[in-house]
Amino acid sequence: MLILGIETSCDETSASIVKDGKTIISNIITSQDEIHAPFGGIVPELASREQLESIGWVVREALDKANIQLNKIDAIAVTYGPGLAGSLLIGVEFAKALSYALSIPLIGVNHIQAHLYANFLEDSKIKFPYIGLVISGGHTSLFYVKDFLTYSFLGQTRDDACGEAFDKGAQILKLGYPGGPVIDRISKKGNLSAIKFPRAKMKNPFDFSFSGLKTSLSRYVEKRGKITKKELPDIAASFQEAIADALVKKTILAAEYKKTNTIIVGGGVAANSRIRFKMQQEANKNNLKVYFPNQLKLCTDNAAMIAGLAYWMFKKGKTSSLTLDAKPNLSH
Amino acid sequence: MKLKLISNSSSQTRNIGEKIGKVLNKGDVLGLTGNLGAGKTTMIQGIARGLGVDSKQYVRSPSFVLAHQYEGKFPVYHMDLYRLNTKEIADLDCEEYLFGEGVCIIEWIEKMHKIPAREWLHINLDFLPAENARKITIEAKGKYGKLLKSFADNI
Repeated sequence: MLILGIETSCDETSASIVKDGKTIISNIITSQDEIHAPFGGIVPELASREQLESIGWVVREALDKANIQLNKIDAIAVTYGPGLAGSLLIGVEFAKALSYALSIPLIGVNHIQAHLYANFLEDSKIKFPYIGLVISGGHTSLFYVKDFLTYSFLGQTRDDACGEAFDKGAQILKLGYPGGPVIDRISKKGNLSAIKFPRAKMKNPFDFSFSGLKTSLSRYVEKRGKITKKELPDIAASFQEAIADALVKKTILAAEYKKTNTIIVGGGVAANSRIRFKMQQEANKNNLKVYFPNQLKLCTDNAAMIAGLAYWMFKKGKTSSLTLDAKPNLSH
Repeated sequence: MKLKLISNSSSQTRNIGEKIGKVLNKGDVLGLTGNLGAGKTTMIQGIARGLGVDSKQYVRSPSFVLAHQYEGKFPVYHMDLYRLNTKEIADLDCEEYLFGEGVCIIEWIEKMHKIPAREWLHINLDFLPAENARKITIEAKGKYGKLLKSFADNI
């Protein structure tokens, strides 16, 4: 079964064709792919207006790269939330029009659930139930997942998402944007216990908070006045460690609490090497199996994860009607 | 009209926000300014509480996704321009949020070259390192003078 997936929840415009929920035939993402756009170059999709311009040729490119005709597609999958209202709407309306014109099923997919599914595109033998951790610029959430359709919410950030903490931390340290990769790189030369940055204590042990950490870094930098090149790696590493520590501890705790042996991590921050290492290390100690997407393209926003999860939704009869609406606040 | 307050903790900042939230009405526009870590999101958590947004809805920073929406007495639109440049801001379609049926709260409003509402409530937060406290300055533009007065009377 061939599913065409569409993802426009935030900055990216992405289209992908996935066979039977596991084989990616094409996966086009505007900011990452060399596409011969009619207006040339790669456009950051900050305004839905620009997404409206890209959606047509991104879908076209996904079909061309896959060498598949539109009439061979069996169903259309689309992110319907959470995300930015205007951006979501572009994808949802485009998908509805295609579904109607081709008389094929429409499947509305939850963006956060799909981030976890990205792991199944690389390894289809992952065992349920699992603890799912979604970490990105916009999300930091923990779920208990029984099967492809059943997600129980455990907790999420009360203020900043962890990817946002990386970006703002990098800004405070004047390291540039995006902050995640640069902090990751610099931290490799630093001592991660050089500075004791705070770990937030939460009422719900599965909730996160990174705003206090950001403030604490900002105060530290203000107090020091000038940060020398020599001390920068220690600061970055200690800051990164505070984030990794919270993410790993809570995820392991969730696995213990829910008595599961599997952990899945998804989202752009899943590319961070320290988080990967620490999670793996703690998982080994606790006899847990942990999965991260290996390809960066499957960590960040992409339509392959949408088309992939949609296959299982379709199999369980979870299709959407043409009244599907964008849900910016969709949770789980 | 200008009002200056000092907050010594995040819960105090939230309480001040809650009192502001209680006097807001449909169509009101608030702009927040202040450095990273000054307490803008904390303040908005309080404002949302005052607007009847229950604790099940997580009032979080929308820096990455640009906007969050919560349901209270009215819809609450929480925007954040932190990662955008002036041109990108000009390209955003935010009229729906600004002139809609709800209250619109904008973090980093100073990045807007032209503020689309003529009348709005400006809240600035400053960290005071010596006192480990926050200075909160609330300034009313246009019709918000009356609103600010009713808030000041209640504090």
